[in-house]
Amino acid sequence: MRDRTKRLARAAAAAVLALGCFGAANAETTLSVITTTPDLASIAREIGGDHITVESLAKGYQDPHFVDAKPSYLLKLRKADLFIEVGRDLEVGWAPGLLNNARNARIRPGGPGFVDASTGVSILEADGRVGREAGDVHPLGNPHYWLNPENGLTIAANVRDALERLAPTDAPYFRERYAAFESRLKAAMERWKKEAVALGLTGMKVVTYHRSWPYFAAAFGLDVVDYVEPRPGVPPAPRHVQQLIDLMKAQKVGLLIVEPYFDPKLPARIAQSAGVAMVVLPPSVGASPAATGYLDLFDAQFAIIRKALGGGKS
Amino acid sequence: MRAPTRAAVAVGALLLWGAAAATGAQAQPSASGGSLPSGTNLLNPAISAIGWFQAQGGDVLDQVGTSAFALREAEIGLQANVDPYSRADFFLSVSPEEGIDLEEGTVTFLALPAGLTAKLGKFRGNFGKFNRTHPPETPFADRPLVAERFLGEEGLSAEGVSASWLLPGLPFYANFDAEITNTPDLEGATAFAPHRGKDLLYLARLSAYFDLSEATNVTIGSSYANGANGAAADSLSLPPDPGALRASLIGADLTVRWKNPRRAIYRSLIAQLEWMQRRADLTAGPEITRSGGYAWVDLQFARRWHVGGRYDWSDALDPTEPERATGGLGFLTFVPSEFASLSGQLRRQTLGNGDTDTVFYLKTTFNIGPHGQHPF
Repeated sequence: MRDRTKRLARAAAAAVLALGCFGAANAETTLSVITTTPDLASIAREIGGDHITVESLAKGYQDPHFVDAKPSYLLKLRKADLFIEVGRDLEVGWAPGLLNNARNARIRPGGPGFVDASTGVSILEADGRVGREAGDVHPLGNPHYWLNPENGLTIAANVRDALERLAPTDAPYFRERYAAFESRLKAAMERWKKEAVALGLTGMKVVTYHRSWPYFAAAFGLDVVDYVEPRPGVPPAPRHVQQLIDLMKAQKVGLLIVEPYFDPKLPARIAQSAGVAMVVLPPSVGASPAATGYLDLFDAQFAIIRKALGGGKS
Repeated sequence: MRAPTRAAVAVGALLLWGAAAATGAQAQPSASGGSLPSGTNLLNPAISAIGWFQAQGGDVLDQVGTSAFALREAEIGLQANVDPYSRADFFLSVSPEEGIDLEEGTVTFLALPAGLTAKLGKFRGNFGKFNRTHPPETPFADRPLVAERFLGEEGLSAEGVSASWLLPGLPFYANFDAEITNTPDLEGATAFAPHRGKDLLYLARLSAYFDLSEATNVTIGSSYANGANGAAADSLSLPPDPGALRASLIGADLTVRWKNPRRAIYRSLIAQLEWMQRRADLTAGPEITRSGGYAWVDLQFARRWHVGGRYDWSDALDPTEPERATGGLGFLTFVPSEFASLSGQLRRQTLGNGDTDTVFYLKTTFNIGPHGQHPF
């Protein structure tokens, strides 16, 4: 009887030990990820899956240059394992102060939990000639690079590398999800490029409100000929508006693209005077109801353009 | 109200540095950080300058020594990380009256444990809201009555140590600040007066922030400062008693902000109320209590335009001076870009003796250098 009890006890202990080991081996690391924009959050979610929690400080309908550095953000940043920013000074007016006050050395620049998502991206308008006479320019180049879907892959690789660094045991999981994301993104990219051609978007001359769209234009072959803002961050004067209308007529501009956080009244007047279709395109995830994820963002943009152009050339 | 020795303060400062280095040692350089190429100039601090030029007219020009035009101040900032654990911020104020003055010069330890940060150096005391703001960056061409009378022309600023603690475990943001500094010489009839080196100023502030909605938020704060009020002179015996009198200042502030995040650059509103009360020991007679405050509102009604006003009230600190003065200031400000502003302002004050004083200002500010933090 005592032997049987001992055997049972040993078996139970072994089972508990085995379960414990199994549990430890399969323990999923849950990392807390905070991003500045929802596009980064969406890509982080694609790579991190259910091994991370992720939240964006800015909403998609906010101008990412002008987000208030609310103290309530410090509560989120204080507990974060990973902080991902667009970089290139896009968030210069609000993110550095938050990081300095978050009481979290891990996520400060240079720390293991800080990611500048622009690392490795081929940045446009970074020719080094900057001065405030050119408006509110970004000395490190145009920061709206996530609007070329191909740059989404570089962002995803940066996120994957950071997650692997913080949770090495989960590396296969992150790599697998990256590969799946890459496959979906490349397939979608082919589809979008075909649609851009079908819509007549490729090769089309366009005007945009702010310089948010050079990467989108590069991805799909648009030709941005001018801007509603005469210089970044500078509202247009009447003379510039008239010159812009004249230019749009002369150059047969096909589309006026406006970000949703700008007042649409003036660009609508410009578009009407020039006889050009105007679209308010979501520049970020969450900026329109259909833009629920990074890939959905581009689907949403094409849906809006398709509607504005009446289905394209064909 | 006994003051700790300077030795105790120095030991505390050293402990902070040690704690910062020990905790911050966990922060390792990463592959993702620092994508810029190396170069000597790239390690230079960020250099910025703010100019504050002002024209004024009205009753103020009746006084000797005033002038219609003034470059009130040029503020030069030098800011950079010192190492992985700390950053340094220097602000030099250059003005015709004061010459070159170190307005603030601090090293801040950002890698401390338990939600703490700490700084050493010369800094503006974290009392209320107005005192922390550098003069060119306030929306006003002048200082609120209570700030001028209680804290002087330059505000409460001194050398010392400061610790800031983000309170844990709360569903909202709350922060506690504690500072020990020299008792500042505030020039004129102001809240504190330095006596001996060991008569330090102690300051504490508790503030909390609440999001009422996506667009609206509230910040509340309470502050307390206790410092020397000059020598405890005894009229019957000279020289004065070596002990120092003390004075204390309590304050409360409320700030409400509104801004639609979907149209952030077009409309916003800030309303703020700040009140303070001073109690001071006197050489002869009972302690005296004086109070004052101000309330202001700034409405951004278009992308480049702000309109606002401020109401002031304040007792005079000197018991022999007339009683409470009141005043009002209105402003209309044009902001051509993020880096410049032009503001027309009109101020009218009624002093305790019934005299009135009307002044108009044209304040312009302009800054150059790297893009700084947006004000919040």
